[in-house]
Amino acid sequence: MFGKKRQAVDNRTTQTPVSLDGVKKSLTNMNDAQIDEHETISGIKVNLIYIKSLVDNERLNEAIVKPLIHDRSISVSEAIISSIKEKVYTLDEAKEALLNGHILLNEAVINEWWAIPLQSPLSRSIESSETESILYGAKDSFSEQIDQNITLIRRRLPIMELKSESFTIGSLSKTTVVLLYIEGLTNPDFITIAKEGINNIDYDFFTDSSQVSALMEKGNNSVFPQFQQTDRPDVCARALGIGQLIILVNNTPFALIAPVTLFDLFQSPEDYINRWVVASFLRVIRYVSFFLSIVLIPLYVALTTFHFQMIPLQMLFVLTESRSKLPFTPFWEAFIMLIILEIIKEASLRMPTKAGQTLGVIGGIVIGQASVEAGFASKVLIVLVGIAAIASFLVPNYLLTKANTLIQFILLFLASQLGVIGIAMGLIGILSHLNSLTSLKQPYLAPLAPLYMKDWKDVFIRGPIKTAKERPEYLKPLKKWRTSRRN
Amino acid sequence: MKPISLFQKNMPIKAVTVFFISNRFQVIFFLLVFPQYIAHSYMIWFIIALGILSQGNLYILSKWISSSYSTKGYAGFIELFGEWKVRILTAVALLPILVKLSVLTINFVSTTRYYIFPSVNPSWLIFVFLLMSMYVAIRGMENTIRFSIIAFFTVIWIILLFLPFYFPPNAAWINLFPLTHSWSQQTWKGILFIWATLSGPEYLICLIPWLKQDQKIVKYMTWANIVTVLELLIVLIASLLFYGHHYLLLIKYPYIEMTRYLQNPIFERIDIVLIAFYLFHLVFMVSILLLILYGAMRIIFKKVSKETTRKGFLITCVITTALIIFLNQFLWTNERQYKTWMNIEVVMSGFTYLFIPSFLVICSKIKRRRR
Repeated sequence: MFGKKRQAVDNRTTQTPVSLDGVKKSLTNMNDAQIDEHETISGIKVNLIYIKSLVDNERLNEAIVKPLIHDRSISVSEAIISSIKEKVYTLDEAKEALLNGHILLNEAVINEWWAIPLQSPLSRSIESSETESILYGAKDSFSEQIDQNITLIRRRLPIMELKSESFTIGSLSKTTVVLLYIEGLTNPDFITIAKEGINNIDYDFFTDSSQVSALMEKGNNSVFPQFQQTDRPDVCARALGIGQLIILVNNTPFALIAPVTLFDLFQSPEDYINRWVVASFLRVIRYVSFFLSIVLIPLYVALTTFHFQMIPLQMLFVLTESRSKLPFTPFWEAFIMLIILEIIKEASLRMPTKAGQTLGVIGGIVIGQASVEAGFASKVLIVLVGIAAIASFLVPNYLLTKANTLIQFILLFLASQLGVIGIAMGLIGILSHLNSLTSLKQPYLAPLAPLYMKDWKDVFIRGPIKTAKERPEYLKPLKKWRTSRRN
Repeated sequence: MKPISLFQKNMPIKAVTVFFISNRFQVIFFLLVFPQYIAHSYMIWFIIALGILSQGNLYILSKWISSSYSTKGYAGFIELFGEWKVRILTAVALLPILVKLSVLTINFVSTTRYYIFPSVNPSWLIFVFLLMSMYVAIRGMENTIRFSIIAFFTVIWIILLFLPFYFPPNAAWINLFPLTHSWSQQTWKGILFIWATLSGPEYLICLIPWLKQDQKIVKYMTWANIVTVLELLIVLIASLLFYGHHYLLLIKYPYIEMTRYLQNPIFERIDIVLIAFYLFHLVFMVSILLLILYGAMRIIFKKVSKETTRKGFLITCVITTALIIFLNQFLWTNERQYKTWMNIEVVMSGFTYLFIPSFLVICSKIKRRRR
């Protein structure tokens, strides 16, 4: 209930004590604020203060008002049998409780105050994930209700060691952030760094967990996400199980997983459902697709601008014929087509689902065909742009897919200046950048650099589960073995 | 300018990284140069013999690495020699570092021009490659050392491309014989070149403070040495089988040249792609050497106690780039000058690899006895 409760206890002596006048003054000009006066059978006068839009009115009547009026107890605390009522001492505590959907209960004569949580259950039902959809496996996904999200994880990890620590961030949004980890398994250094990161956040308003990650990350200028965002509880539970930690943010269905590596972003929940050989093949395809999506178009520009001799003769005939009437250099031809592709992709995302699909078809076929006929682009480029665009969507992490685009443009420019040497330079730059990135101070390219060979069983391929008896070494878990016999 | 933490030690680097650094430092020179006087089948024996000798040298080096002076880094050297002597020794060490840096960069630029961009100004290419290396180096010593793993994995697979040259019709096994020889001046040159090729692990002396102290370091250096010897043998034997000794003597870059004959349905001229991949290797080497150079400058100019700055590092890089461009422009203009520089590099690398580890071990022993 109170994110900073302990701190508040220490400061109570210096803070304004809670009073009816103080609370009433705070609620001025709030038309959904309600102050009800009741009297019990035994004659005790009680004030109930709450914000109508935030509390469950039905439960208020059933659980608070009715028992209060008909009770013959001599004190209010005896009348309200609620295990989670908390005493309130200061005006700030009272205000925070009201804004979090609590009922403030005041026994007028002795001026005692309690807060009882009665939040309105405003939540959508549990639906399947749209961003990380899979054919087989669990279909549930997180919603905007943080408690519901914790429940979804706890059901998968019904152990006492699963700890959740709550924080409140945002001077305006008062967003609840919950840090989840498995005590005795997750490396304590990660927990300390994460807590420090959350405590150091100083910002007013939060609408999504990505803002939390942005304020906790070290390399803010990177296009690569240093926290993995997911709305899948099974992914979170698995992450907790191998020694990562989870940050849940209220009012957003996307949890943050940390520390992560670049290779984590290529893993799909389906990897652990498919047979290991199939899963490994698909994972390799994903890496290859990512590489193709960033390199294919720049390679086309490099070959057609500088290295014609690299293209086999039969292919060169096709290419030369295709490019013979174009008014643009390969760079501008590719640049324009990629910009058009990005416009189509962005537009289809913003449009209603059915219209978006139609737009995709129009963009893909009609504009592509028309630009070839109009002499704006070669047929070969259209094919390559299509392949690169589809390949980019094979990466399960949407943020990484978006990063692709920018990398592609950088490589495109370098390829137009220095051919394949330019592409190599771009790749060196990207790998050097990735090599220096960290997630919760852990290297982003682990287990490649630094090298942890044992962890490769579940990085480039997904090895058989029988052989994956150890947790990833790069996560430095306190319990190394996944089998009970060895721990 | 803002201080940057170029030499900060956040997380000790795993000892296995020594394998990648040693191996990459060793093979690059051979792959870039591959001189004519090594193009004999009897050199196979010398590669094996010198590989074994190099192992002995690595053992001496490991003695230094495990000493208390080594782990203290700069402070250890001060303890051993005193500040003045360290500054003088560092100033002397600048020469082999600069020569290595220049020879590697200019050779790579020459290869790039020969195969990819014949009309591009070499100074421009030197500038671009140095700029790239600077970008990698500016992320700090720790990250640059880790980059050795990336450099290793991006090029090691290339060796597999040479396997087709071991089988007919590419291979003519008759070319490999006879495996004996008559001793000549060329033989001495070949031996010296192979020894210079095996050099490089001595640069680990500058990198010890970032590495995790581990008993396995010598094991990883041994593996690096073995892999290097195997790589050299694979390339030498493949080129002898493919070209034959007499034709091999006429080719300037046999290593790259061979890959031009590889057939691929998607790309022709695979050599262009391979040179691009070898850029990873070069950039790693140059970035490490730039950082070592900057560290050396800080020692010479008594700046060790102060924070590293972008300005200082930038000045070091600019001077180095200017020096290499000057060298390429005026002192590397014909074949005779090229050979002279090659000889200087071979002698210097061979000398530093042979004597520096022994010198340091002897000095530390003497110091301990005096106590």
